[in-house]
Amino acid sequence: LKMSSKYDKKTTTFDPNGRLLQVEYAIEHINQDGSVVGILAKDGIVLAAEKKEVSKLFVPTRESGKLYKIDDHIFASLSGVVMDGNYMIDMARVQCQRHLYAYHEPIYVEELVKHLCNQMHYYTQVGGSRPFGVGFMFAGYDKQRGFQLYNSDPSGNYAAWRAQATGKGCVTAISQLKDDYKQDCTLDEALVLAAQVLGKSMDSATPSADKFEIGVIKKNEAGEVVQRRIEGEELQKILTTAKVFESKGK
Amino acid sequence: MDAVFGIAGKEWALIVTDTAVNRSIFSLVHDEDKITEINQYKILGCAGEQQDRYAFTNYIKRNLELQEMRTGCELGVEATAQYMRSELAKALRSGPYQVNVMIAGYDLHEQRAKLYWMDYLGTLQQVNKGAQGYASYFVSSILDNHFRADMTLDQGLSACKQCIKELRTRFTINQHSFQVKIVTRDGTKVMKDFE
Repeated sequence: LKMSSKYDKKTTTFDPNGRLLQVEYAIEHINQDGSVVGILAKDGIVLAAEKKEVSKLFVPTRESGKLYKIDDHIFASLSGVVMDGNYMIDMARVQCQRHLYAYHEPIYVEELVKHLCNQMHYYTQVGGSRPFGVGFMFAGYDKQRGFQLYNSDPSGNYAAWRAQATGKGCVTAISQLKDDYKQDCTLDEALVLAAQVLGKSMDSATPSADKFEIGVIKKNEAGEVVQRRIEGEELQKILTTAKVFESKGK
Repeated sequence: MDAVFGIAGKEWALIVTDTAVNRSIFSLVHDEDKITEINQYKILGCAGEQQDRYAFTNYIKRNLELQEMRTGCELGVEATAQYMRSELAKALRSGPYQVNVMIAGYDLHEQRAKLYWMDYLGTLQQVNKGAQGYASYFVSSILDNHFRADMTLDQGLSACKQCIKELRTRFTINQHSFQVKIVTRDGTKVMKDFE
């Protein structure tokens, strides 16, 4: 990786090759964080994130993981600078409620993503502030477009995906997703694939269940959109089906 | 003094307004359009002072258009009505819009027509039939008598004709002419000089 240059001191400077170096460095920060895999199934979405190593002395609080609920119909994974991320998550939650107040219906997912990304983009144009060092993967449902998966980065760019991966192991993960992802897979199939892909892209050779943080969003029998974490026995079962515990042969 | 009333069936909803602008003892204009077409499937009939009518309907219409451009899709009828209500409520304690409205629309997602009654305070209620202003004293009972849950559009229009006849007979203010706008799944239809 290139070290410092004349053109990377401020967000408001292009370099002679037309690159915004500060924004690129912020994006690089995301690439160093734990892996996140997102898969869009025909009946829901999976977000699977790699949990960081934590000390035995650490006390997990209600929201000390990587997955955050933004509204009843949207949740997201946070990669990068957690303080920046918390600020954005809060902004997202306020925007969702503001929309609910005015329109009495849930905000459209892309509308929410765009709102956040506009904010992130603003900080790449203003001198004196650094970009938000966060990348999100949003999983949500709205009646206009159904289930949608979006990925955003510190530049304020976002895109919709059928399957996506970010973080340390994203190169391996994305190439495996390209091979193994099937459009119109079921949520259960997507869960197994996500666990498999995440397991392979993790650092350790034999991952354990407590390194996985998995959340899903789907519709229940009543047709309501619900989101929940996959934990405990259910998680173990999925990881076993995905053969995550078998040590990675070369 | 404006007459604004409406009825909604399952597949159609309509709003009738008079088309006069009166100032003190004068009737200035006889072809004022008091029903704004917010988009293809939603209309807003407004009673009140001309400036407030104009400012409110334009503000709502342009903001909804912007919203549609941002999100790529039209809001449903309920969301539109709630949005209008929130704008009235916001302005209430600073510079209220003195408009009483009827909102009619065809909801593409739910595949049905809807009608809403809203006053200048931001009281919003979904209704099958309703009227604003003095007209309500005259047409409410007629609408009540004629309304059926499975009403057809023609039956609705004939009920409105009865309402106009009643206004002409009993209301001291002479209302020169009326227009009706109808929303169905095929969009909005306008009938000027309706009687």
